[in-house]
Amino acid sequence: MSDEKLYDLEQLNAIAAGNEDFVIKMVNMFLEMTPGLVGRIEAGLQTQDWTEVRSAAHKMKPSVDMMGVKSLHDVVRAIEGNAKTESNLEQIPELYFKLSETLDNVYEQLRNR
Amino acid sequence: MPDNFSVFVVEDDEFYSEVLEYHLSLNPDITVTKFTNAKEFLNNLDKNPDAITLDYSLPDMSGEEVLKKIKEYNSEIPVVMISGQEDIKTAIALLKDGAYDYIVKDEDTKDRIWNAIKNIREKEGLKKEISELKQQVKKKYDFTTSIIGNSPSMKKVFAMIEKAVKSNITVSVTGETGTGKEIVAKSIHYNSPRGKKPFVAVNITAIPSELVESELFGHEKGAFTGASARRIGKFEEAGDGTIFLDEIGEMDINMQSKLLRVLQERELTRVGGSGLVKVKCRVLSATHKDMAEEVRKGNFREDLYYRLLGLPITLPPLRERGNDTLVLAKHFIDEYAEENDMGRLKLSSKAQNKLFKYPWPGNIRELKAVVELCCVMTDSDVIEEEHITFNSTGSIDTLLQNEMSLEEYKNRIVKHYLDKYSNDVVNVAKRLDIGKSTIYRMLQERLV
Repeated sequence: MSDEKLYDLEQLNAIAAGNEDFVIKMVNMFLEMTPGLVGRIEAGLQTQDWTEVRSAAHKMKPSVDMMGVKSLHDVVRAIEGNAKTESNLEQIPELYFKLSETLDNVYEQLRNR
Repeated sequence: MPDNFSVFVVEDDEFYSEVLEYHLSLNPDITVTKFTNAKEFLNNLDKNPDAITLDYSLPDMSGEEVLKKIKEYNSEIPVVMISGQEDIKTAIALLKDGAYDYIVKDEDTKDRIWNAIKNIREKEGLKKEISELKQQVKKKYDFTTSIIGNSPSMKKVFAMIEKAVKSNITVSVTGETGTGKEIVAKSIHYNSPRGKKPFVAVNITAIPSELVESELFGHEKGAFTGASARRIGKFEEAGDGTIFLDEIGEMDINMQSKLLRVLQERELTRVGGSGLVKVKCRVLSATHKDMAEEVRKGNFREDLYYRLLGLPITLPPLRERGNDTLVLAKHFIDEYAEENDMGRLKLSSKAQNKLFKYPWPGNIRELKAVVELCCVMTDSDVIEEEHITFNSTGSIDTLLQNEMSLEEYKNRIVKHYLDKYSNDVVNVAKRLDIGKSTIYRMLQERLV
């Protein structure tokens, strides 16, 4: 596991304007919601259901952006874009792997923050 | 601005709607209600939110459909569409369908939504204010309350106003100064179907005669020295509403022919311009002059006279309105007392008599001024005879309007002198060149 900090709560803190409860609430929400979305992408990949992949990736964008996971900014969008146009589909598994691995580290870091 | 502003956030992404709710709720006046699907939201639409943010891709219905349903329910509710993708075509289609704004989800979405909601709040506040003011204006010019009088001559006026309100006919109002010609014009306008459109009043005597044309019809930039920009005239300003030409009898004869042309063609040309502008407003006019007489003397064009005559409403002078003088006096006393927190004021019977007998050359305007002065002069809650002072300008005309007998005039004149010289009979007799005994006799017989 890398020591590099994978998330950045600057934007969330800016919105919270000092309300730590809100920050905790949003972080918890991210931790609860995101694994389900990752699961949907994985399931979609297995059944070649690109609509499902696109929809799950689409829903992931705001939370990934809000948590400041900059390394995934383009990854999520690439998954969504490729699934939408059904082009470069061969890249998706690799992108998925990067997504899933990074997120596992992000969960870990957020829990121990 | 409305204090409590309810925003419905319709968004299937819980994470995103949570952020939106939190961000909007930073303003304590805003109440946010969240919905994650279209069905649940539409079932709650009857709670009448002040604004809606609507996610374009909801699980159970497309953004267009939801927007359509909102607009069918109430086209006034502002809807901010939020979409995951930037799609110009969709954006334009949605805006055409009545969306207030189209915002793409990205880093600064929340600020844009914040601004959109802020603008909506300001707009709604202004809209409410305008509709309240319009109501107030309408109430103010409800002629059953703004025009007061029970005399037979006023009943006739009311009947005519009612006819004028129902039709679209040109109306000419005549009456002495201070009889309320402008109030009649406003009452006609605000109670007519044009009531919500502009009412533009122009007093011809208030404009230098060489500027009347540009004032009425507007001018183009550079039309004359000082015309530094294009300016629309009063006719254009009135739009689909009403233009009120006050003191039309004072209009210069050259201008009369220009006005006639515009009224005949229903179109005008701005001074210095060449394009034609349609005239759609209703025309009301007023004058204190006897227009038929002005036409005979050649001061007013006959064709314009008939063009403006339409439904003629003649306002009777106050002295011919019998008991209305007292009804109006009481009304103005109550109004003044209320505006100045003075409590109820009464007129003594002698004071009533004094008001009743006075010929009121300045009509209601003068009555109002005199009565308000009374309210200030009295120290109790009763207005007595001595609190009433007339400051009539054309005193000799006023006196002659009474049409009294010579004997009565004589008594009036003697009384005036006695008042003026503190009942110094010797002095008065000398000044009027009459015998002292004549005055003593008049005093004895209580004629003066």
